[in-house]
Amino acid sequence: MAQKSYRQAINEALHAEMARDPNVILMGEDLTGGAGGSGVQDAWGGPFGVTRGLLGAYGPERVRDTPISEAAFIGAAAGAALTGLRPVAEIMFIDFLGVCFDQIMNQAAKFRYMFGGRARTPLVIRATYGAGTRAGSQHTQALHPILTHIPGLKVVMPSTPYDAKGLLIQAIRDDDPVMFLEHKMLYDMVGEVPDRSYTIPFAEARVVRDGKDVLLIGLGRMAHIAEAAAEELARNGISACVIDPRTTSPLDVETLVEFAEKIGRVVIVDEANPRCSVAADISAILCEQCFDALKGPIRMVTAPHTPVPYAPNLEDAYIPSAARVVEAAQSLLRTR
Amino acid sequence: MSALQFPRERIIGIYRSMRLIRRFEERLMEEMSTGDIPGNTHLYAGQEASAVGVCLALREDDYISSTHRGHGHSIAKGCEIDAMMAELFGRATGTCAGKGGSQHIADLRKGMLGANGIVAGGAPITCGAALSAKLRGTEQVAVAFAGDGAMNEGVMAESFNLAKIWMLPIIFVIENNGYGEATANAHVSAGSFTRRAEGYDIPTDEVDGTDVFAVYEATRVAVERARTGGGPTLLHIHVPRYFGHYSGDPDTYRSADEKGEMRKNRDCLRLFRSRVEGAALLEGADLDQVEAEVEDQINQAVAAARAAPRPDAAALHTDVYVKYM
Amino acid sequence: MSKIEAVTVPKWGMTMTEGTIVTWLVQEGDVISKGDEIVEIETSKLTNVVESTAAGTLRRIVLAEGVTAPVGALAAVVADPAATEEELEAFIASYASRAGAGGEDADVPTARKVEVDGAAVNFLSLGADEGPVAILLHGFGGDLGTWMFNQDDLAAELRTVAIDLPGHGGSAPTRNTDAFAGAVAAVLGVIETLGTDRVHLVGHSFGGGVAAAVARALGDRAATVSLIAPIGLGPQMAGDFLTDFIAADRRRPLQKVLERLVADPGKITAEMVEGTLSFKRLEEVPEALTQIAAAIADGNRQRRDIRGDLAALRCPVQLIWGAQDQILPVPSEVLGSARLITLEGAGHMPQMEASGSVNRELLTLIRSAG
Repeated sequence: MAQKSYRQAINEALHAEMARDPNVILMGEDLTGGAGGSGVQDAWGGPFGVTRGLLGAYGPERVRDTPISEAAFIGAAAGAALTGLRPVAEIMFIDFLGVCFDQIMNQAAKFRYMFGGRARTPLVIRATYGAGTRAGSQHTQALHPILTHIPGLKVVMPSTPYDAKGLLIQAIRDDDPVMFLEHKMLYDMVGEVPDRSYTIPFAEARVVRDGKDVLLIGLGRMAHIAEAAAEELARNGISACVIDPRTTSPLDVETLVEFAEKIGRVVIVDEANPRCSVAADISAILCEQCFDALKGPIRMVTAPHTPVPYAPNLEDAYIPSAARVVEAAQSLLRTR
Repeated sequence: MSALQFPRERIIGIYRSMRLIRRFEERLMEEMSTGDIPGNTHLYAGQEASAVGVCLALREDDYISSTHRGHGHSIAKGCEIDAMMAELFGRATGTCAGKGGSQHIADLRKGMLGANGIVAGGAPITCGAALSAKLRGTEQVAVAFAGDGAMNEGVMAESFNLAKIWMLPIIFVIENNGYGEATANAHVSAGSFTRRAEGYDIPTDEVDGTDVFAVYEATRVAVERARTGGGPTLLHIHVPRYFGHYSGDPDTYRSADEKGEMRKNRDCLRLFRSRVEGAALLEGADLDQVEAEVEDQINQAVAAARAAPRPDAAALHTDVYVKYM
Repeated sequence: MSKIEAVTVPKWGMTMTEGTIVTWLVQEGDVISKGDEIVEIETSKLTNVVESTAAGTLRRIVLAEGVTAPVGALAAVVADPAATEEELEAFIASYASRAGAGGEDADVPTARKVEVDGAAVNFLSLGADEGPVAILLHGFGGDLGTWMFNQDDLAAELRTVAIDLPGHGGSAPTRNTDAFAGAVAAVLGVIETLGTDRVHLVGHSFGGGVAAAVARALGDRAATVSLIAPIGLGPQMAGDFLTDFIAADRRRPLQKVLERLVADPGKITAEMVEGTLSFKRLEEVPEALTQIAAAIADGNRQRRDIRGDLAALRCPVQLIWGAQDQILPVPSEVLGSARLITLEGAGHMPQMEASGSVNRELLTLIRSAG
């Protein structure tokens, strides 16, 4: 099977869906880069090179470089979705949610409910997230907890190239607003991605590896941190199961409970801040649904309750590490 | 004034719409005191000529978006009175099955994209509807109603810019009733609304919002521009607001003189009556008959709403998503 | 010096690069013989048991349960009791320097495609470059990876070609409205490119039915036929397996469906389920599977009868069946000269669950035919 990067996988999904459905349009800042300039068109192919080549294939009417006006173009994407198109809008950094949140939280997410079930908003908002780029506090956050909190939104966090393609095609074909969160540090990650189209249903956690001593639940990029921790644990004779929930809303509660019950020790790894987070949410759900099967407290390995710092040593300390996950797992095994 | 050359039936229809809005709102004000209508509501009374004049220039499949003060726009665009009244009473037969309420009345079949509880929230959404119409090649236009208060929200400026660079078939209708909630517009707004739009090279018009024919004519020009690829227009429509900001507002921040003068000299219904009678287009009896019919219609809507079932308890959980799990 | 032998992580199939020790079935100090089941290893597809190739005392377990190690890594040491601790340490140390040397530089075989009737057919050749060939045909919903525990063993003696049937693995769906005829044509098409006049056919389940028809079409070129739990030898089957397999679009229901394939449900790994889902999610696959399922069964009634094909064969034929097969029951009678081998402890996938036995039977028949 073909090896492709996370970036290519997303590009391929956009290509496939634009070819399949003329109502799919893209809008965002610098989606092509170079629009209206004196030099090369499609110069950037997106801020991270994800949308390269789509302009040439589908033209400027369907691949729209927007002004730096997130509220206006995210709102316009919601309005276009409400009236027959299937827009995929891009927020360059999820941190910019701050200037367009009304259009997501109060408008797109609520149309269907407020209008008594008489509206459909097939909108995808792609956004990059995550620390590790030395970009300071406003270009690095992991804000999926805020989004997961809002009824009416779906929240997707692919961790592999394979998942990125299948989940994005699913998101575009979905009739509800979907937040599609791409971790910047994963764009160059390579993995097997079929050339053909496929969809991965939401609320379908991926069992990254099976194991019997401790369950590591890793969200988005943290699935890889959990996997690295599992390898280290295995070297110490501890068998760790790793699960990537893939989507935080809807959440595959069934699978999480099934494995938590079976294994009894749970560590949740999340790059978001800890308070009111998805990690805290999963912890609460497991406590409610399978408390009796737990052999110890659920441990959360998350970022601290601070903004993302700039200095490399501080930023590295901010991001959950495999070593912290290993330590959390070992502490659980000690309390058996 | 081209609208004055409308056939008689159409002129009667204009009056019927305006009268329907007025009586709908007045009746709501009365019903609020019975306690049967949940919450509070923002009443459109006084501004009828604006909604009706604008919508008169639209096709049935054109889009509008509205504001928290949205009953008038909904009625003018053709939403059903019975369903709207039921919605306000929180009933399952309402426009939004009782789940939206006054600030979220929407009827996509009529091109009504929703009232909006967030000031200026509808402007970018309407840009999106206009973009959708443009890309699908349907020659529909979209109207974003907004109040004077919305003009001080940043997203309005973003929407003007987007509408112009993409040459969207959109009309921004700014209904200036002089007050943003309880604060006078003059106290909080710098410069001029039309000059703000002109800064984006968007054509504008200042319109007397008590004259339904003037509103129609200004909108007609804007709609023609939009439908033929000429891009956006901003209409600054000056209207009176009969009641306070919301139904429970004691409205003491406006003087008795100001309110008295407004009702005496800026009542669009009274002005309409004298205008058409003066031009011998209709007789008083024609309008009296309309008023009687409207009264029946409102009575029926209220009675039907009262009799209608409340939403089933299960409705709390439905329609959050098309499909979630 | 005492005899010291290694138990290593085996390589099952072309994509296996590492394995995880699940359970040691023997303990340090146990005396073991060749062929004893000593350790369960999990691969990306399935958990399987390693049979010892050494005899003696299991002196040292090097890879603990839960540890993942590359193919070829030293898992345990077998030696006679005379071997000293120093000798064992020296052996383990010498192995550490060898680890990785074999796995990395070995040629990774890659599958190839040929066009048959305008549709690509994917297949994997292993073993000799010419001469008699063993053709391996998987069942409904599978792919050439079905033979991961078998193809290497067969390839040690002859040329082997495992084929992805149309609509499966890397092969395009057939353009033939008759899915069965399309599969037969695809296999014959691949055989024609191989330039051989001696063909050993090995088919599983649906692929068994295809193998019988291919053998009949080949006439005297068919050297032997080994059918593993083939369709078409009885009126009934668990038809709901087919429809449930197609319908299951998530891990949990598919796990349940796949568990019906094996005698020991614990053998179905999460990775195997995910891998099957990855295939089933592909565009056009559900349609292709639906077409094939319709060619196999109508409800619980089998649509095909391969007895005519078998009766027409002049070469040796054997049938291998898992005693605990829940999909296709072990036939009560076998026609003609065909030999029926029933394997205990295996379900519908004996080539995976009892790979050692299956490989022995396959090779025995192939050798006997020369």
